[in-house]
Amino acid sequence: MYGWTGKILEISLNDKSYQEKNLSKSYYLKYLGGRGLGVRLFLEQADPEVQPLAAENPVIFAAGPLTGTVIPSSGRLAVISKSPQTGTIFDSNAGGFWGAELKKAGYDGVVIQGELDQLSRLEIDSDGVRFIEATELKNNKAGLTWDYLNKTIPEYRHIYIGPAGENLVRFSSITVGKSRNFGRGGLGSILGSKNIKAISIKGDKEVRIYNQEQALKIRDKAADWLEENPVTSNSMNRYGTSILLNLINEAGVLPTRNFQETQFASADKISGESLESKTVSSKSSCYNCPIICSRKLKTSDGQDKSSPEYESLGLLGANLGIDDLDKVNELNHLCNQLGLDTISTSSVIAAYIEMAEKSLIDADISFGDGKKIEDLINMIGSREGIGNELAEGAKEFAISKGHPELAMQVKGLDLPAFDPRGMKGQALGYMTSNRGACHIRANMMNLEIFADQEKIDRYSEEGKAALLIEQQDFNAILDSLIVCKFTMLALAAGFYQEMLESVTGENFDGKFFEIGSRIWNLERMINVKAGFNRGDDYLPERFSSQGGSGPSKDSLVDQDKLLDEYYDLRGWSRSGRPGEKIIANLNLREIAHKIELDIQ
Amino acid sequence: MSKQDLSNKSREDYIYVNLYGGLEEYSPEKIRKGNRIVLKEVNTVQDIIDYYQIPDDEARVILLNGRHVKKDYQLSGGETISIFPLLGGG
Repeated sequence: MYGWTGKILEISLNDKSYQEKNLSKSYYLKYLGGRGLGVRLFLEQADPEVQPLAAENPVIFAAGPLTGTVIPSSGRLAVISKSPQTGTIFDSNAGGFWGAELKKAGYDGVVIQGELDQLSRLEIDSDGVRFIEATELKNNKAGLTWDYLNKTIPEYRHIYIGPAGENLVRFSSITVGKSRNFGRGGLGSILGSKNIKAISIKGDKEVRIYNQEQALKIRDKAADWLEENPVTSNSMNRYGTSILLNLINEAGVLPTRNFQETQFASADKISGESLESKTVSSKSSCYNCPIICSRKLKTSDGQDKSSPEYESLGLLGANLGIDDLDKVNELNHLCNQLGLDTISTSSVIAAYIEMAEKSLIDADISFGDGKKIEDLINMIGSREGIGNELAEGAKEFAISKGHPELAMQVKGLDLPAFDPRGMKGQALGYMTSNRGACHIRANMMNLEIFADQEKIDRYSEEGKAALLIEQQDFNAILDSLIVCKFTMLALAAGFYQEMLESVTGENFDGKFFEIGSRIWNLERMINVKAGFNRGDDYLPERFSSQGGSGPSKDSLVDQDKLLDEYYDLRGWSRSGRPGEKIIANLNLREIAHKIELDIQ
Repeated sequence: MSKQDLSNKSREDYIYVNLYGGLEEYSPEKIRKGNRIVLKEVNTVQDIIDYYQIPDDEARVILLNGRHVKKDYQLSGGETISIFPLLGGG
């Protein structure tokens, strides 16, 4: 095979054993790699009903056919497991160099099951897998862990967890390399539950490419287009994603004070433009990527601190009522050091503060109180005091206090920094994402804010389901190839098929786009089998009963209208179950049978 | 604002302009918020873009009170227009 290595590595922690396994080509042709392959492999290992923190729940790291090749922006890696935050099948995706190294080590994926009896780290290379006790790294924050690994085995690439992952915080992240993160879904706690502090890998093989000459031509063409596009050539490098904040605020979709408002009066103080003078380009943070979107803070103490992404600025800033940019930067750094998803950290604290301000709980804290918020983040990371309750995530915390309506989440995953009231396609995206409220399953913001408003009215529900489905399916393909989504700003959809064919030598004519739909439906089938249904596809009631701010003042989300149209177009029942016809069309019957899914 | 206050012009005699995402470089004072143009200088949003000599393809999203407007939008005075380049991310 070309592009793919054809092999995965299976690691059993219980008896510290491992084996290489060859995969049949049909897996790759149907699911590509990354997210798609990982979700399919999950079903080889576990039932949809498996408990997320149980030893039997596998955690799978998967690269794609384009990972580690000459194709630009192909350094990403997917991690797949059942999430302790959502209870859904979950994949998270991060940049860095680990994915390319995995391919060089000769694997398309690593499947890890079981648990170790003490905190350990794994080393993977051509000699096999070593299980190394790492109790001295216990409770080490990200920076210390990175320093240790980089000093001890500098020729390896690393992923690792912080104290939050060790303490099973339900929204703990996994750090990739020095500063990239698998941010969402709490998969850090899966590694924590298995007593894995870090996994380091080193490869010594080349990824085989079917048509090197053609792949190089495609690389050059892609590089030209990325260079010609002002966002991928300039804006991303100069500002990173943070540049969105002023636009999102003026458009009335910036979550403010737990989504009670959608504009923040001090937005410009925490904007990407304000941040620019405090940051420098990180130069190279991901394998073979010309975009270089990540930036780091200028510091006087020599410490390496990542500059916040848009999401972190919006949520640790406006959504917590903080307008002091230096404070937001500090909180972002703290979350990174502890290994916490900044989105969910903001969400649970925002829910806590709203309850406090409304005297629903006995707590002395207000929006904007940076010092107290910082204390809470530390307490979450270590599960001390109230931090132990907050570490369960906004949904569980709000339920425990009798106010589930104040948790801004869908399926347990907290809403990112785009308010759904002013973007109805984005709203439907949050509702139907298989991993809970998420903007990168299909970021409708790109269409709803940047498109001609006569063609796409962001406030209207009309026609959004069809646009969204196309985006969801295509993003599933990108997550499986794996190519960074920021390339979509400059490259046409069909071009990715050319990339895939030049690297693998396989012909995907007429089959390429259905792969996304297959992955999407497979994920939904797993969730349905685990008990999810229409009732889990709703935004908090706030978004349908209470308007936002500014241009979103009178806008509410008609959730049933959106869902009905979406289910119909997907070929699902009105209760949200994939129907017999779509399952058959996508060749998913065998799997439906395997997981004993009732098909109507 | 003191100059404005001393004149006998009212708010409606000006158009207020926010230039974001690097477009502030086209502002004479290099500022994002607080730019203003005397109304009689401009009739449409396109005139604002020309006034600041912003290359046409750099002015990609134009908002009036947070709502999208087109470049041929007729100004009546007192509005705040925000202009953004093409951006991306998430």
